[in-house]
Amino acid sequence: MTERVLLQPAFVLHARPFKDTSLLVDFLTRDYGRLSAIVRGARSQQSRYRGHLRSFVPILISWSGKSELVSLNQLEPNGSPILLEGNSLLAGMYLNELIVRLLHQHDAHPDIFDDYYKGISALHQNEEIEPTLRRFEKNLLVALGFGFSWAHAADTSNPIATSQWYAFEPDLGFCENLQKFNQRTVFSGAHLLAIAQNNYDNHDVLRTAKQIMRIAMQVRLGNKVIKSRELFI
Amino acid sequence: MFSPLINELIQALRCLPGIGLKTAQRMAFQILERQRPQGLALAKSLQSAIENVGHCKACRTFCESELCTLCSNPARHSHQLCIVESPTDVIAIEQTATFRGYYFVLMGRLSPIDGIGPQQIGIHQLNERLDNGQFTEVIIATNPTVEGEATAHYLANIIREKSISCTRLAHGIPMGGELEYLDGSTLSRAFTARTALT
Ligand SMILES: [Zn+2]
Repeated sequence: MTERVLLQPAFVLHARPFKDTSLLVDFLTRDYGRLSAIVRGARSQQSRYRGHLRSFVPILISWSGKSELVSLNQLEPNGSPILLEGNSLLAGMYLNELIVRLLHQHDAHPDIFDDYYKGISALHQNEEIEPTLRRFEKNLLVALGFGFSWAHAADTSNPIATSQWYAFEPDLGFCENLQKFNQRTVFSGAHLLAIAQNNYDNHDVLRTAKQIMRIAMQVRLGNKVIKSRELFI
Repeated sequence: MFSPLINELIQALRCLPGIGLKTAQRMAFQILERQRPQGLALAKSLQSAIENVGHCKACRTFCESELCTLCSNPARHSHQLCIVESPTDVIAIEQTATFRGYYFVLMGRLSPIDGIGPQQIGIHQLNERLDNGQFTEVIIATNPTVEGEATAHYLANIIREKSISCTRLAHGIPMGGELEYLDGSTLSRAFTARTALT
């Protein structure tokens, strides 16, 4: 059974050469999740797709097929391209890599699509990179079903208190009982509450958020490595 | 369906880019029917290239000697270094005869999703090359793809720290191109990088 999908909002996450003139492209689509497609002739001089098949360019795509690998029938621009440069570009590549590594193919997540669009738009408007990445990671965990509460302790259900310290258990959340959840690192309640509000004005909060996200992401990534991190010098 | 040796040959030919099963079959029969000496020469030159061709110690391009002919040419401008993604880029630039310095070939570009990071593009070798003080100008000529641009940005950060002047090839509207048919990315980039008319 083949399926035809018309004019679906999408972004290119990654493209690699395939045979002589084609590309094997990983798309993030709004309603069909991550999708791999062969785009025939995309690398030839005359290709009408040249320049559109580029990360961070909002596009509409149509395809047919229902297998792991569909074939692209149509592509058109959908709004102005988001031209990321410098560190924003590296940050955008980090988001792409996170999605490729964490989102299963054909797992529909309109929420992740919208967040991604917001995230790269924020990077484009030169909003601060780190808060943008942390916001995206936080929403990504929730969307993938790995979310946890930033407002209540997981072991006692007590509200997180500013003066308290908490251990972090990726499968549960933040825990008050530091003896039971014997952790090398503990996190300040005040920081957790700030992160809950996406308030990253304080540098220490930002550092805490980065530490927590690293731990939380690594649990979901298993033995996969996020290579883009090597690019941030 | 074919005898084991023929099957093996067909499978082996399929490792070449763009060669599918049908083409591989055609190639195998062509060689066996009509081009046995040429086939033997191909096998020999494949073997000897694979055994003897390595990377130039200075620029990383393919060559069988320690230094490639370009790197061992003392008549080149010794203070300029051009960084490119692949050996074919060197050939393309050489054909324009506009650049007379030396090259460094990354043999790829930063592409984290493919597992290609700084180490894989020879960053240590590039650092050593830049640290010997020979170069006063580095020209980054990576492709204007997302990965090529990320690579350029990453390299520029490293080069600037060494107080070496660093430039990048301009990109924009291709010669003979028409605005109407350009994609949005190219056109916006051309706008941002517009130059004054003198
Ligand atoms: Zn060389």
